[in-house]
Amino acid sequence: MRKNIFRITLLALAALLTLSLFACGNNNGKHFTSDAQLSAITDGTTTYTQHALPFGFYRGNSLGEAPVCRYKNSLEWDGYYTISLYEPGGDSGILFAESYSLDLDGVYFATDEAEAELQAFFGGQYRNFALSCGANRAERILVPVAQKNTILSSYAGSVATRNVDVSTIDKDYWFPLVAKDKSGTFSVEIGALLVLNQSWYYADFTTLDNSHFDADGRFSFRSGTITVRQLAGDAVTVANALATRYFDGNDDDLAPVLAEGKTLESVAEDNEANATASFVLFWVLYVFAGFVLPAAGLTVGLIFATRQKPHARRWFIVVGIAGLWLLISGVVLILLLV
Amino acid sequence: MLTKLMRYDFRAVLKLWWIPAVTLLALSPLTGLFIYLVSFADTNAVATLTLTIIMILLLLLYILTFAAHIILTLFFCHRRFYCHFFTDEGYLTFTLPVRRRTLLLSKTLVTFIMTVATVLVCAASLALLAVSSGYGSDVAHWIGNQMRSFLGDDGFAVNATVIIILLLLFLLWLCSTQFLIQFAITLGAVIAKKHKILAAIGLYYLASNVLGLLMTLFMEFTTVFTAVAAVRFSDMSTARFDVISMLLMFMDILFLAMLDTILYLLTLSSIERRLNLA
Repeated sequence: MRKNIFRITLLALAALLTLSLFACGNNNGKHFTSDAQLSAITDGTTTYTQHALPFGFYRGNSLGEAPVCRYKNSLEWDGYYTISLYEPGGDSGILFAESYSLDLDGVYFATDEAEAELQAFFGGQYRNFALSCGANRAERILVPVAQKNTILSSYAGSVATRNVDVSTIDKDYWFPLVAKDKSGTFSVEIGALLVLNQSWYYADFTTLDNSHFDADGRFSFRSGTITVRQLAGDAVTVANALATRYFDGNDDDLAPVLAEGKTLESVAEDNEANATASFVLFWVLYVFAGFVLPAAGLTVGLIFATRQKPHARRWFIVVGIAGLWLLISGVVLILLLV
Repeated sequence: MLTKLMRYDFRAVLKLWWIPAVTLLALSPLTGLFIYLVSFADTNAVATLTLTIIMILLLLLYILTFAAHIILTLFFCHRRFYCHFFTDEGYLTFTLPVRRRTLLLSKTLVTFIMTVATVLVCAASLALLAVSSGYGSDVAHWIGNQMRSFLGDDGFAVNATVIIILLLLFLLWLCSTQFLIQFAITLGAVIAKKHKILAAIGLYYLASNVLGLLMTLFMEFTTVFTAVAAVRFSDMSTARFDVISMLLMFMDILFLAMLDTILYLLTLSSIERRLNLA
């Protein structure tokens, strides 16, 4: 019986292996080769030349997430390195290379035709635009060129300027305007809409020096002051519409806030009401965590110290910890109220 | 005497503990190697399929060993605690010319050290897995980014203090888990004449639920403070906000320290006063 089971298992494994051979077929991807300097890659019909990505431009969306890529094949280079090749979008004429041992993040490979398009984009000929929200949110909405132009024309004509400490900017109302190339592969943040005192402002990144950006070209909220201009006229309507559309479609937390025809003013009122509710909760929790809990510990310590007289000293450790806790709670209370 | 007791406790636990530890450490580079081969090697489709199947099997084995290592460490340590105090072996244990608090301290220290050792072995195995699978630099980069985004740019002194506080909180949390199990075992043995283990498990779940609720309320308080401070205390200076945040973290530490001390002392009191092996 045991022998039979062994034979059946072996046969089943053999059948599985044979089936998998048929199922897999051959590896029919393109075969890529490169020159000695890795300056050009070719699959025999198309040649992709290596280029460096300019500062401030990045792959994918405003979070640096790579665009959806199709795996093309791997390439052996210099007799040692294995490089994986990916192509974003459809036939964009652009290739990305990734390798375990080589740092290829800052470069891309492109055909001459794709490179001509990209150079125009890097030079400032932006084709399409998107608005993202906050510093840590992935979702974006597309911004029609006409709306972008309305915002920027209003911005250019505006005289109401204001200096803002970047570390104080509320990232919930910070909407970077992202320009993308024709294929949607590369992005650059050209500016940002922001809300200050319930008014719309625009920060133009093209006028800022490098100290306002991180090493990867992203806007830095750490320190510094920027000058922003207030939007006026149609630009305010456009900005309100964009923000409403953004919140409607993309953000679960904020969607209900603006979904039912609410305005930014009513959002601010709601936020104020939420903050009041949280404020009450905070004081309830503070009394519980700062005074009730340590007082309970203090009581337990004192009861056991009295009951177990020979071991009273060890229970005084609990009393000591509870006392210190109460003391710190008192100090925090003074710091909060004074 | 404590050293001698600890030596015997270590021997009892280490007798079997090393098996899952060594297995886990040996599996890490092996699993990593197959992940590397599947991810980076330029092979044909049949070889890739075979390698993928082996990799998945190894990965499953690795995850099971990882979980088993943690569970077995807890089992070995607390089995020793239970058998040494509350079974027939207890008669021999309590005839030793040693104070009961020393006996408990030895078990507690050995369990704590073994728990920390298990955490280190798990961390080492993950590092080995990351390096051998070819994703070492990616993982290191990711951890670096997470640390940077978590700690921000507040300077070395603030960051070092926060790291020390978090490490202390982690160690105190490990202690509270351990003390709670010891407390449940002791109380189970004291109140139940039969089915002591069953009583211990029931008590553990009861106590852990109550303490879990307290901990949640306590942690919620810190979160609510951060949310409220932005609106209600917006005129507060950054320095004062930092001092309050730091003091709240100290309150977290004191909460766990008090909990640990009470659990440990209650266990000790039960072993010293209420134990009835007859």
